[in-house]
Amino acid sequence: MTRIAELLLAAAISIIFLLLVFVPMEKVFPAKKGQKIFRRHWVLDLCYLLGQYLLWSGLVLWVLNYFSFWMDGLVPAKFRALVKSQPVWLQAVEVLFFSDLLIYWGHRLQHKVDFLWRFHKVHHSSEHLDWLAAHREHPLDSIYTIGLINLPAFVMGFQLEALAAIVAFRGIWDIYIHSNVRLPIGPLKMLIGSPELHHWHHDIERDAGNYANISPIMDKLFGTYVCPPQEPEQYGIKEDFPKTYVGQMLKPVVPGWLWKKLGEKRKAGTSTKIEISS
Amino acid sequence: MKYAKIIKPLTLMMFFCLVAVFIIYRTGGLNKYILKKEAAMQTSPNGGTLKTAKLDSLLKLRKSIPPKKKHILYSSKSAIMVDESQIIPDSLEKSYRLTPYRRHYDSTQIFYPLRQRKLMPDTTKKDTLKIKKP
Repeated sequence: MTRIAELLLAAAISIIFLLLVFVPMEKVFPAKKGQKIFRRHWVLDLCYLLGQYLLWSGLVLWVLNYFSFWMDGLVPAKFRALVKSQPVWLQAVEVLFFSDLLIYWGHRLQHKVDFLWRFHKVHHSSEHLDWLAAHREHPLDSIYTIGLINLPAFVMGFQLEALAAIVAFRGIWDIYIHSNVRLPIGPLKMLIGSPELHHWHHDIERDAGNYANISPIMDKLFGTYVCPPQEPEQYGIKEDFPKTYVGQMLKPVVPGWLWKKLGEKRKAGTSTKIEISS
Repeated sequence: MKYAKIIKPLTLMMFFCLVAVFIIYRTGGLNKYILKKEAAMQTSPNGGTLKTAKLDSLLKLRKSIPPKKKHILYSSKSAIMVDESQIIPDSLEKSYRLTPYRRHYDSTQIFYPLRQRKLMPDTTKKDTLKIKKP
């Protein structure tokens, strides 16, 4: 089988699996009851999912592997030996703690610093949240996020195979917290992230809180934990943003002045067409 | 009402079962049932995968070098079902075959020496191991 066929098959299997996991949950325990499976812009989010499988995931992982090899040469061997002298469970706890800490602050920066927000707002531009919307992410944003999460493991030289189950759990749970599900888990929500918390992060306000994805402990620690009893009224961003896949891929990388110029040209072209046709 | 009472626990059970299956799959627990040729994840500490497929000798030699692929924690949006190990080593190698000296632009060693030697153009023409030292 060719590489493309393999990737297509993997994407198809993944979509079927994710449909099986999340659609029944979204139907039986909906957060927003009126939201349909094929809601507005679902095709756009499907493009993101397919884009990740067929185009970007290989590139993102290539960059991260390259980065990790580079880190291998940069970190002093003595430091690595010191880390390795600790029990494996302690190394694992350290890796997870520092990962959560880094991604928490990295995520807060994505919302504060305009340059990072350029890329991150692609993910926040979704006006409907469900398992499919979770995949809306710019590849450069992926490199930043996945790079930060993995940085402690890269620095410490920790082999994440030892945490394979946790790695897998985090992966699927991250999709779950975006799904259109409301399932109260009681006091457990202080330990593990839930859709009711992450939905508030996707509130239309840019700095709505809940920056930690998996465990809200960091939000509790740094005072950004938000958990009102109801769902947010509106998701998305307040800014104008393209509604097409290509537009959303290009907008963050094209300088503002050029984007404006292109927009003006497109508008002029459209008005000329209207004049001719009228 | 009765209908909801049945559906809700069933849906929850299905959800947790499928999540458990996913975790077992990603940790390599289903390899012997699903995959015939290679393990879905690295099983040895030096990163080697289980190989049962028949390969030509060059490929065997290449695969005998422990690949420096690492497991990666994903961000919220990319729990990929496909095993990336089948993408990364090849794409990395292809890239370094095209630009064999790229490793020099920083001081870091990227590949193990054996692999590096294989990628250097001069060693593809003559076997440097056989050259006698003066």
